[in-house]
Amino acid sequence: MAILSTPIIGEITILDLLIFVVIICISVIIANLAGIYIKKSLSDRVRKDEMAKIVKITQVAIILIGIFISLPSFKVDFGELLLIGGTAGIIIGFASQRLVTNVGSGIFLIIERPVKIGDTVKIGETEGTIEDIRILSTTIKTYEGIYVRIPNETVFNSEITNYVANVARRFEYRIGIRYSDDADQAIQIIRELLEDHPFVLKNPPPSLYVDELGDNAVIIMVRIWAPSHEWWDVRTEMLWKIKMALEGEGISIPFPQRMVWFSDKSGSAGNTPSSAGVAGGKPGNGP
Amino acid sequence: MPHKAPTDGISHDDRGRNNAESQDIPLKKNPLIHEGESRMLFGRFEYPCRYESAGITFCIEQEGELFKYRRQCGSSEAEKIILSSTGSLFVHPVEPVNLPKEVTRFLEIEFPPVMMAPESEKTLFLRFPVEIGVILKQNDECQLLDVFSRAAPKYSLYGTPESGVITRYYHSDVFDQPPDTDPAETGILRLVIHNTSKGWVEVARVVFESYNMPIYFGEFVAMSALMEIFSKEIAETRVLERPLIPEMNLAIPVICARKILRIDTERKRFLMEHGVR
Repeated sequence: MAILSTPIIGEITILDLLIFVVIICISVIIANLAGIYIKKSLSDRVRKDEMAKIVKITQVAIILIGIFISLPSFKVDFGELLLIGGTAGIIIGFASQRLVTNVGSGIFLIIERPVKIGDTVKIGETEGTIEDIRILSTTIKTYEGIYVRIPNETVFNSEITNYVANVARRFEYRIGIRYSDDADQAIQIIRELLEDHPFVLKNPPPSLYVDELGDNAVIIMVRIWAPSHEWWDVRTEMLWKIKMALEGEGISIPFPQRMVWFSDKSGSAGNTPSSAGVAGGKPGNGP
Repeated sequence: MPHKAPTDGISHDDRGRNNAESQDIPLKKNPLIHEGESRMLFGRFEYPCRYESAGITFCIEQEGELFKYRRQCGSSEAEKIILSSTGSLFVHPVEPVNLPKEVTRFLEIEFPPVMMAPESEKTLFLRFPVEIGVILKQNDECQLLDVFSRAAPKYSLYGTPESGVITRYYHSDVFDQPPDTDPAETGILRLVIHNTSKGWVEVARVVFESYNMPIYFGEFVAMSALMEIFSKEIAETRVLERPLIPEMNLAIPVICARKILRIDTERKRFLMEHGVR
């Protein structure tokens, strides 16, 4: 047992080191257990991002307590510790500037909170849902389910688009109808359909108007506000419903088409499509 | 096995029963509740049980060791299996922010504009949408089993996209006395509007926080609320723990049935800072 009392660094013995390691290990195990317990008890009561915060804060607190409990075994003088820590900080700072930049960026991201866990975002060229914001990096799960780790420095310096930062967002459809159809009737049909959908917001109201007299169709613009977390479902659902509702009332969405008029070399009056010779486009009356 | 009729509503604390401020309000008889009708929609059911009326059907039937809950309301259906034979089933009106899925905790009621004189207080009646919660209860532990409604859900934005809130939207007429309601679709909201400002204010909407929304039921569903107007742009609202008539029962709050942590429930008031028109 004499080996345990052998000093290895100054007055610190192997026993002190062992005590330190054991206490830290125990505190890490307790922190993990606490994390699991918190997740089990609060998973259906607390939002996912808040849960992650609660778990992290608890775990860090437990580990810090473990460190403070174990420090006396090192016979640490806190004044010396601060001096050594400060000096070491400067040296480490110079030695690992990128690391420090990432940590700094992470801290600013946590303070500024342009994104939070669960948000749908675009950071640089990466789009997806924020899975975690750590001190060094932010992880995103892309729409394809791929894990992407972005260093916080990159996140901090990139253009961030947060699709759900505002509670509501707008999207639009451009619906083409035939020139022979009644645009007012089409607008009314679409308006009634939107009115029936719970997540098409009452305020701001949907905006519907004839936007363009196109080559092949009269274009009706449909602008819809929906809750940010629901807009994609609404968007994918409503487009087909609009198409079906319009067709149900005899209003069709035309294919692009071009009428070709052949000239009548005999010189007789020929302005019908079958006899005229001018290539032209009479917009959308089909299909 | 014979089906058991619902018994009384859940026992509640006294706050829902003996309120000195409850008034004798002339209430019309609800057309959907017939004289002598023994089964009301809201109340406690011991299962197996069955309820069928006015387009709403739900039952819990025993199939071997399992209990199967089935519900139909219009075109909406639900089916769940319950693995307990000792619990009770409560059918109560719940905060109308759950359908078709929970996206907000705010209820907004828009009504024809009313002009409030400076430093005045008036009471008016509105309708609000009702959602019906089916709640399992055993040993004081509640669990929301199902929510349905005959009221069509609609959502809106109160305020701006940056700082506003998504609300469950409902448009109501304004009444000077409690209106007729279908308890499976709408309830009666008694709204006291207190204009504390020194100018006339036009009021056309009210927004409530549903985390503290005591809803009472009996022959009809009702809430009482207070709206204090501070200026043309700012007002504060809260739903009061006060039944419309003393005989009403307090419904189980869905926040309890959903097992949501009560961290936020102290927020009883909602500050309408985006206007009252």
